[in-house]
Amino acid sequence: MDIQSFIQQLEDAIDGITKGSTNPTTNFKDIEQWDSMAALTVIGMVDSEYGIQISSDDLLQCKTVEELFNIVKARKQ
Amino acid sequence: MKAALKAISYYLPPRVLGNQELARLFPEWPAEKIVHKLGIEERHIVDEGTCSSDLGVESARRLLAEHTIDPATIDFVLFCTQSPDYFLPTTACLIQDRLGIPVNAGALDFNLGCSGYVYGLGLAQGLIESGSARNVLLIVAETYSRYIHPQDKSVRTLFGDGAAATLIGSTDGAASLGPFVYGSDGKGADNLIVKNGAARHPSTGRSAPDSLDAAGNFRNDDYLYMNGPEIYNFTLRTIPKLVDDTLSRSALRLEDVNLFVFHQANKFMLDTIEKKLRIPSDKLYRYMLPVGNTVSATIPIALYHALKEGRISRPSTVMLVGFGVGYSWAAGIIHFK
Repeated sequence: MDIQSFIQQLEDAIDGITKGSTNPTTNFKDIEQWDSMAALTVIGMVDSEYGIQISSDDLLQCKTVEELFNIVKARKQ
Repeated sequence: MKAALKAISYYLPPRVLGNQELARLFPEWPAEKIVHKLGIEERHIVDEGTCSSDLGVESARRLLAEHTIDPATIDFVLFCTQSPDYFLPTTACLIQDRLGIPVNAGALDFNLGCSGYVYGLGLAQGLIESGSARNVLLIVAETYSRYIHPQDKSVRTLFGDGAAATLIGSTDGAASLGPFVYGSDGKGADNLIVKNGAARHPSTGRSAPDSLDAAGNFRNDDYLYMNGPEIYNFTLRTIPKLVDDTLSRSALRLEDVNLFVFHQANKFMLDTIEKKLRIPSDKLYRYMLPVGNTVSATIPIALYHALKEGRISRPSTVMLVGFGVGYSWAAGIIHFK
């Protein structure tokens, strides 16, 4: 799995985000549309696209998009 | 003696909390966003003097009137609530008295949330098919608004108060019940909870402090707390297997079910379920816009409207699926003949 597709799927999941505005080092905190609803849509996206469950704790531990990608990638093995 | 669903009615308290009012209180969530994401426009909220038994009695009075049912024929009252009138006595006994149901009727409360209606139908089936009752009045009534802190945006936008009454009888039914599949996982207890005020953490006379949980959500232990992402994960893990198990127990395939009535948690949850289980959207019934999440009442209220709108033709196979606080879950089949 590659991070560019992951970022695209992330942007598809988060309502109102400008496509192409996110990169691996983007902090979730800095995403304007990041709220509790966005967190749910991302959990849903990871489940439907990768068959992986991530918890709210996982999201809290990830500062950047890349850190989340790494967690999902590790669980996919 | 087969148990059969005979009639459903429901009641909502008159006071409405609409999205405009919520958007004024929480400007970061405009009214359109609430509708778009949660699928809710209005919820009904009890006034201070109104208890779950009041909602329950009203829903039962409507049932008796709309379907010309004599309360003297009821021989069992099942009352599901998580906000009883008193710690004791049993609220179902108060309801029996107020409705003029004979004293030779059984009556009990059971404490469940979103899985409560399906459990109630299963219990009613058991009472009838064991020959212990002939006409069971199942009432689900919830007043979560009593537990909700005014500053807790997430639960204030979701939950509404309401009650539904259902008659389950034993005549050769037009809508036979069963099988039922149940599940419980107490590991999820802390994710949907009113921590203080009962025996484990009694009220001290001092209010709990306001705080934020790790994700930045409002939290006060005297009030309802819900961890949205954890509940969502629970649903993702549990519902597909529950639906599968219920299909196998009934020797049905997914395509054999004509209508699914899930607990109407919120639009986002139902969208996820629909997609994950690959249920055609015209087979997944939705009714939540004008009522919100009424906990144990969501399924009977939705079923009432599905019947009213002609979404359940005869014959039909309907699957009800309830899940949530506890964690607790249950699914059951109704065969409409």
